[in-house]
Amino acid sequence: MSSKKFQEQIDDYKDSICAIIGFVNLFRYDDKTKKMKADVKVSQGRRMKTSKSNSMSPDSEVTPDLCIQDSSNKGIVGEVKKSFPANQDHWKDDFSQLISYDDDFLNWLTTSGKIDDHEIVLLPEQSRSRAVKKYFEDRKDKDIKFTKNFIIVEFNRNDQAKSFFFFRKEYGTFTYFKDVDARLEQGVQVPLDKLMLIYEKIKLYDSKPPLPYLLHLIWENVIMLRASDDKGFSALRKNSKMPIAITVDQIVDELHENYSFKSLNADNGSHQPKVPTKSWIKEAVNALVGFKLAEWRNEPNGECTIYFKKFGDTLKTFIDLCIENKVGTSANEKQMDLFETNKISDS
Amino acid sequence: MKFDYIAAFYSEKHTEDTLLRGVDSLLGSYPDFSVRMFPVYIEPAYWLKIKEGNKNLRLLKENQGIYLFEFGFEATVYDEKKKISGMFYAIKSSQYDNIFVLLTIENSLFFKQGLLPYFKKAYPLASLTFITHKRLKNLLIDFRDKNQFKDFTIVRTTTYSRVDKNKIMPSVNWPAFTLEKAFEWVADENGWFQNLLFKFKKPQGQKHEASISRNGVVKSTGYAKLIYDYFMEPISKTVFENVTFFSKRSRRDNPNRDIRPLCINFGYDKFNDVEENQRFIASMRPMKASSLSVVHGNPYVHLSLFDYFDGSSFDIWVLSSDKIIIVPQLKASFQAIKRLLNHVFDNYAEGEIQDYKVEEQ
Repeated sequence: MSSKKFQEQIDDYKDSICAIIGFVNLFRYDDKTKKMKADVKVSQGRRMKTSKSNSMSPDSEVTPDLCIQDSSNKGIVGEVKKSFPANQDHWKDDFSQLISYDDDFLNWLTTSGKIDDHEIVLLPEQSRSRAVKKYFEDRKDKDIKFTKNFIIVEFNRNDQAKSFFFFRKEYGTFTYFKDVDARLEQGVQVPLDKLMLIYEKIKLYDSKPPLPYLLHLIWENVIMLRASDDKGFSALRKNSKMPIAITVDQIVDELHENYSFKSLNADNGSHQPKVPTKSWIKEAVNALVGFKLAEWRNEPNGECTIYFKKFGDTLKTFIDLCIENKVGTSANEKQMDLFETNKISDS
Repeated sequence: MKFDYIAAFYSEKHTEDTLLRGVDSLLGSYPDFSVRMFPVYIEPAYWLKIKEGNKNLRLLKENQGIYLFEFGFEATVYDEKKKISGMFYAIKSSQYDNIFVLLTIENSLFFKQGLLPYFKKAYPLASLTFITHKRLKNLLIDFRDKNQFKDFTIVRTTTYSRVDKNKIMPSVNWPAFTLEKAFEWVADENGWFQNLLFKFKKPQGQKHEASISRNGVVKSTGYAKLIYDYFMEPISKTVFENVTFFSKRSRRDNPNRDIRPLCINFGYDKFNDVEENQRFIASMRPMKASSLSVVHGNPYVHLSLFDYFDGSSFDIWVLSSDKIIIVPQLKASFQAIKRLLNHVFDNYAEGEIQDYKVEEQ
């Protein structure tokens, strides 16, 4: 994979986070009071329990990109798709995922865990939205059937004089959220500077990030922080290394605490998996081992030593190392297999 | 036997007032003397260590916030290593916590090769300030007008000018301009002053020469008290305000790990073409002891900067044509913020530093 491809993946990952934030905020924000509505609850990657009658994933768990619910006991479940494969034969899987959301879930933020109804929304990037809409329309009520209301809302990032994200309905009508529906009819611009402020606290969501991006986050926010507590940090020469003893769990906890949707989720209890996952961090540490920047002290226990070094351009260094060592080359994928019947494992 | 005024000066237990009057008196008696002074922020723990002394520093005397130190170091003079020693005063600000004005009447060698580098190297335990171009002009106008220095000429400048899209060139000039003309000239040159040397004189008074640099170092051959009142006091206030304004911006310092961004507002459409993004990125790359990563370069800018002095880190954004947004990350000391802003001002452009607030959607 080339450096340009990694950069594109990083861009797509960031854009997906901004799209989730921008979209959920359309429901959270009260235009009259200019404040976030206290009764609207959102979550990202929440484990929603499916029923036995789920046509795709019965008696299992799914983790939608976004869940929104308000005090009227109505909700939205959605998926953001920054990219659809060029080959439309692969689109069936994405729609299968959405069909698995056509169910009465448990684990909503109510006493019973249920709500009265929810609508399903797909957010494709604008360049694909027409094709996605046509794909759906050609198959609806045949291969793709929803019993719940289904809406397609396109999004894109527009980089004019002032960058903004744009959301607009491409198909369908929101039944329960009429005010948002009206706004999405013509389209809504959300300035990137507003999304940026929230992105700064949320740099990870429940989809595996590009490896160099994750390595950069770990380096800056976990390893360098520890290294800088050492008296020798300032004097550490460019080619020298400083050993930092750490565990996978510590890295997970610190990134989850500071850079996940934890700050936005209405609830961070047992139905809300930690992001990043242990497996992502283990993969990152293994990559660092390959780069001779880490070694396992006790791999089963997740104990490792990471050797902090001062790079001139840390992100570029990790991109180059990934290319050189041929690691991190798989595209962004959700960890959760659609047909997986087990809970999300942290191992 | 000639009376040793210098020894007498150092033997006194000075107050701020007697110290400055004493310096003025010495400057009057010794024509080749000059006084050098600069404000500095010193971390409390480091100040305690300075007072305790070390192989370079020894506290000789203290009185009402005035501290006299002996300072020694090794310097290379005409290819020969020599031991140099001299004295300096640290005047503790009574108004602003942890702010000191360091003052010495020793020679250029002592100051440029000893005292100033010693405190610069102590960064981030000690940090000097930087003065914006606008502020520099206002300080000079104030000094000139309120003291009625009718004869006031800028005689030498060290200037940085943007000569083409990506190059900044230093130059030394001997313009012999009035204050206003000098600032007009540098604006026409698309530049800014790093250092100004000026001559000044009251109608009936003696001509004196002084210089001021962007890091707040002032040298003068006379009027020590006025220099202190019109430069050191306001610059000390700026240092203190900067410490306050730049402090507690780390996410770790804030409830809910919230961000506290700030911005450099240029007040006009500075980023009106994509090439300006590249100029800005290019200007950030030479920042010493740092890592700079371009997360996104065009058409909006998103940079990640690590400060390798103390592990502070920042995200830097250009999302509109008139400002740069700086988002301190989990760890971001005020010293690192100041260093970052100083670098932008010295290598790219100056603007107004403001809190950055955007209403939620």
